[in-house]
Amino acid sequence: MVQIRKLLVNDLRNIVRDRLLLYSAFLIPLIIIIITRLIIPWISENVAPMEQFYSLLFMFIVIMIPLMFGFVLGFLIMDERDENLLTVLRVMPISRNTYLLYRMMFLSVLSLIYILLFPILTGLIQISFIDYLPTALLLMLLTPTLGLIANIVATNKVQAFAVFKTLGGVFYIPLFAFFINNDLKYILGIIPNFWTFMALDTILTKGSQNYVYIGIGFCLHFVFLGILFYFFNKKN
Amino acid sequence: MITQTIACPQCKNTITIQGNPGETINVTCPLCATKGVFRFPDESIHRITATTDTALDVQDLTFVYPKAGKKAVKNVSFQIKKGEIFGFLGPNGAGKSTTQKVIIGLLKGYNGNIEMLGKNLKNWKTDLYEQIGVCFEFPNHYQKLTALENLELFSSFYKHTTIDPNELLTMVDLDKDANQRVSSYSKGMKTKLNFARALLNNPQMLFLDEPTTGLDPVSARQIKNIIHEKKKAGTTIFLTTHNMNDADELCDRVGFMVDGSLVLIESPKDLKIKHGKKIIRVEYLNNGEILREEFSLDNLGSNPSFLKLLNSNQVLTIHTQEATLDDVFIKVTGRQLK
Repeated sequence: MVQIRKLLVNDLRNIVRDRLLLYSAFLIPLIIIIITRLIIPWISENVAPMEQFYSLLFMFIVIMIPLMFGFVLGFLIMDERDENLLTVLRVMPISRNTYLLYRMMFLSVLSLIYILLFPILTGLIQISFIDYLPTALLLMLLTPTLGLIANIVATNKVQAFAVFKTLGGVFYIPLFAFFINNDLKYILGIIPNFWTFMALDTILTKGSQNYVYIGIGFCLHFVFLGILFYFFNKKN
Repeated sequence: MITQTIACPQCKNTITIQGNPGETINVTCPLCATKGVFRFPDESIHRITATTDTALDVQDLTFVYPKAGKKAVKNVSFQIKKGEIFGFLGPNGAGKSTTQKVIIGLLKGYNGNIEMLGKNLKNWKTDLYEQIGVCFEFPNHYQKLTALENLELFSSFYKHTTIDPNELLTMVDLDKDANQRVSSYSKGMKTKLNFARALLNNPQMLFLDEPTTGLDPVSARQIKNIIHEKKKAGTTIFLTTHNMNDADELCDRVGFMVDGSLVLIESPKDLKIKHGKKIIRVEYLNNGEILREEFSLDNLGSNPSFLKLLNSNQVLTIHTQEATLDDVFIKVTGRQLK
């Protein structure tokens, strides 16, 4: 318990003392929430009615949160890699994998808190907590996914920025599924968050949970994470 | 989690078991099926002490980097006694760091046998790092944390009581800068912090890789004094270095590594005597001119020329001509240290 507390304090210090990470973890999600709360309803009332697109807009915006925390996670790990701290951790009496799992859990939980609060704080959609929880957990899993991919692909922070930008785009591709009216849309199912969007859409349009989408989503995310973890350990 | 090796009372088969401090588990011998109960010692008395006088026993160690396909370490064998300082010397690329990485468990897939603190390296898990301290050559710290925060964080990884980080920072003369972020530290300060971190768990065995590189003479002296103190307290030290003066001053024995092979192990003193010239060189003043003369050490006290020189001239210096470790290394290996 003392160890976890120390690790938490360490991570918070590393985030708070780095302006980029501080803004990404705390300020930008708040700005996203405020803009969604105030600007979108204003546009809908004064410029063009947008209510019919609220569920799509919700998906478009909420995904920014796990991606933002994925960015923070990726940079924290990259800092440790650049300073050879990952090697130091290997000569400490803790398992490095446990340490990395803790790190991923910590930022994923922070991301989950924002994701869970997002519907309430923005008021964009009405959804029950129980229905929303599984999809929120799926959204949360994008945080470690992005953090690990960046550390596998990029060799430095400049490359990491490019990776975050590219992946940001990739995770938005499943939204095109809502403009495809046949089964061809399932081709996009190779991208894990396709199933998150499908599950979320089912709740918002039909008012019921689709456990098949949820199940496939979890399986795909965990397979991805397992593969990514393997390659991360191989590289470091 | 503790890993422990026990012997079956019936058939003497060696059984490796795992459990938590204070936990009692049922054990069944896989060979003779004898059943028994084993209670793991409490955490406070868990620290494992090697049963022999040998802290490290490396036999026929060979390591090949999978991609290179070439042996980086070739049939290396040596032993280090408890409380001994063993210097591992050699030029860049000789295999020193690879050998150390294998020994501290960073590189797997080696051939040969390594017994560390009375237990085969392959049977150690992360609990090994409760017993050893590692100081890498290049400083590696959380740059945004202060020195004290760095040490406190790493200290929290250990189950056992650790040395107070403030005490360690005072020891390496960083106490005044304890609350400064490491990013503002000079290279020398970071090196000292690296060294301090390796001492956190008061290790039985200490692995030091170039501990004085980048340090000013005063700081280097301070680090060497601490190494001496640790040795006096019974810590076994494995020192990898290029610095022949450090090796000469600190090490009980040194091993010369060249092209992946350990070509010689001996004490610095014996090496210098064995490879030196048994002569003295005298510098003296004669009619305002500095002259030099050499005399054999054999029967020096009755050498009339030497005695005459002492009586009739102003002697400036007298030096024996034992070899330096550098000379010995070049002579033995045919290689220059770089």
